[in-house]
Amino acid sequence: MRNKLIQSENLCWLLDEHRPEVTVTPIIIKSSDKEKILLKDVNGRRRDGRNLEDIRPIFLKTGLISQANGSAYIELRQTKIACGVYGPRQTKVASFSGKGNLNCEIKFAPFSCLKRRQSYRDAQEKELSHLVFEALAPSIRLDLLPKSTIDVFISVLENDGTASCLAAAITCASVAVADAGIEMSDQVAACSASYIDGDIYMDSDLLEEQRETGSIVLSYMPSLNEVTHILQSGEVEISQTTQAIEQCTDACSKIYSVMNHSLLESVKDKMQ
Amino acid sequence: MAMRTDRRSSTTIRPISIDQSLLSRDGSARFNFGNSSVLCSINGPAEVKLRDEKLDKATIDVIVRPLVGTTGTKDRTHEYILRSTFENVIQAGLHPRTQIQIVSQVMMDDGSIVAAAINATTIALIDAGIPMKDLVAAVSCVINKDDQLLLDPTALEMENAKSIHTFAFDRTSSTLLFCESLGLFTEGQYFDCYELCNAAACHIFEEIRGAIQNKLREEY
Amino acid sequence: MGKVTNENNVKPNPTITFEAETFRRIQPEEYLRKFVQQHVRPDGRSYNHFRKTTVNLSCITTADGSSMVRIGNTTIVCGIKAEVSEPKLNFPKEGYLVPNIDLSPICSPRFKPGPPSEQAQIISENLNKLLKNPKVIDLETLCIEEGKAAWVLFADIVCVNYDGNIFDACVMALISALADVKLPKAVYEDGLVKATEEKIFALSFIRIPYSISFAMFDGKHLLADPNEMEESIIKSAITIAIDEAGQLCNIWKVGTSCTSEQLRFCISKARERYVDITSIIEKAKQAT
Repeated sequence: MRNKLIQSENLCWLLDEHRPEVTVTPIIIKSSDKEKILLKDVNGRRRDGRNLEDIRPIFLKTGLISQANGSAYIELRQTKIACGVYGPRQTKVASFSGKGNLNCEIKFAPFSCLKRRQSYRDAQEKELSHLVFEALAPSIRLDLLPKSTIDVFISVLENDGTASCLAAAITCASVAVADAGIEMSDQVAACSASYIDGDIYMDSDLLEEQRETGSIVLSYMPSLNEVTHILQSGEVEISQTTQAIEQCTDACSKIYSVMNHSLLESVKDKMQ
Repeated sequence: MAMRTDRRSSTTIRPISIDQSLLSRDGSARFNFGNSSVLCSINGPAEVKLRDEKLDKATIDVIVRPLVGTTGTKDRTHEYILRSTFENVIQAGLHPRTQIQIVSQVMMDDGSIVAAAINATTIALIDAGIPMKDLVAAVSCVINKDDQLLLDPTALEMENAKSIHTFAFDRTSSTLLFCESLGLFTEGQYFDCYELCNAAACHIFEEIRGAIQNKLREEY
Repeated sequence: MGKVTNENNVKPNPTITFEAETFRRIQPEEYLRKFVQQHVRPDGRSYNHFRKTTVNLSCITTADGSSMVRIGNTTIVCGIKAEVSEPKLNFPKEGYLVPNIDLSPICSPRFKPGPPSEQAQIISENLNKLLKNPKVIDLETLCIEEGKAAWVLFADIVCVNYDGNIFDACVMALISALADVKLPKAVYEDGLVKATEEKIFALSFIRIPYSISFAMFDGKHLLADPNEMEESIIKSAITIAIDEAGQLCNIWKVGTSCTSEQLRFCISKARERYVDITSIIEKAKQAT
């Protein structure tokens, strides 16, 4: 009976006496028109000085969450993501499974986006969680972990472009799984790109993403030279998609070296 | 000294009334501070869900039901207060792998609800015959805008108070089990409240003792 | 477990030895007691030693004010988002300040996905009490148009790493994030609120409270700033909140009994710690 009650009360805590029922964001009187900001100058440089095919500098560190079996934190300028891996631990469901279970959950902090997000899980979070799962699952040797579950929890502290956020989350989760000492066939590096006015903008940020006609997120295992996941959306010519995939795999190889470096650092720390 | 609206002096508690064995449960009690009333029932020691089972002691489960509406964060906090206070008092080790459930229902709210709930739980636990190391009694007091201490405040007095204090003491050593103090106050004021409530708690223990003696006399 | 009790009670057998880690896992309370008897804690601190604390302000650009606090391994991020709503009927001149903490499963294996745990609800409730009674922010300064529109400040706190003493970290993060808030100038016109892009307004504080927590072990040892391992064993906690004038704002004590001398001791230690916290936050303000 208690359980039933709790379920019906699931959302009751939201309707607290302290908080107003409806809130809106105010209308911002714009002093500068965002539409007029040029995404690239005459020399082909973007607003932050990058070339079209450059990705943002990556800060990646493992082991920040002391309570987790493995963890990683990634920062791509404004994008900030933390990931904690728990497991392999016993699966709660009683039935036997010969393969391990991978559970990925991505959560946006309420303050991470331009508009405040509700604290309960929304449809977009469910979708992104599934995409992370699909990108990550082929790399983990789940066949070695019967009856167990690996929980991958990702917390987005600041979101500067959802596609690049997803890519960063996949990269970060892969490093966290490796940090947890779980056997993998290879690390998964992921990279995103936007199609804007016939150009391919690698690792686009929020403003670029708002003006894109299409986007691609590619997850890639560099050592095995295998792609685990591609997500392509929007209207693009085939030739351009092929070019984007090529650029993304190149970028993923660069990200891969950063991932390896941070894992090596963490091993060095553990040795000391 | 200014008289309170209900003509009490600042250091008197409202008339206490105690009823026991009201419900067909293992134990139940109602405790009233004037118009504030809390009904408490105890179920157990009974079967416990596998998930909550503790191998070396009884699981203590507390449910607080508010006067109106569904349970919110405030009631969750009350649940936590009751559980953490009574976990150390109930001899849970005597009933391993069972559950003792405390259900506390607010009947009338006119201030000092947490204190009334703690007192009602103590009496209900005695009524249920649950072994305890000690008895617990709780009292609230407020400091009003004129820096005057008012014992056992009504809802109106709590609303206009500068600070609100609730203390729960055990009987044998008269030491502090639970305390929640809100608002602005000095260290001196805090310990004045502490002493005042400690003395009032002794009075409540007498009342509890009297109520239980009366009930036993009626039964035999 | 049987072996351990045998060793202690029935016949002393010095040949049975355990790794410290095994001992910690099967007899956590006894493990802690062995340390406390030597006047030291398992992580090498003395009783009154607080863990290294760092504060990082304005770390989230999407928030109107933000702060990241680390106490030892405990990591908390607080971001404040400002939105607009109609004021309450009984307080037409006041805005809202809504603190909320999310103890998501990322920060510790003890939390499960789903609606907020009991602990999260209690922390949110206590944070709310600390902000409202006594008042920390003058809510009337959040009013845009009386009875029509007011600012709602959502103070969302995310725990990234849970290693004990979460409440103190939350209060530090919350207060420093509030101090970091910059609001745009807003006007109310025909049912709409328009705000400038430029953010200029800072909040006006009535007082600046910080909380300081202690755990009480075996009824006599007061351990300042308990970590996760200590908190999971010790169920007695004392939290004291004081403001810059040294006045007490909040005292919260649960668990086994304590004497008034112990309370007095905690209050005096809290006053010492308050000075340290202020200097840490001042340093963070200068860094930004």
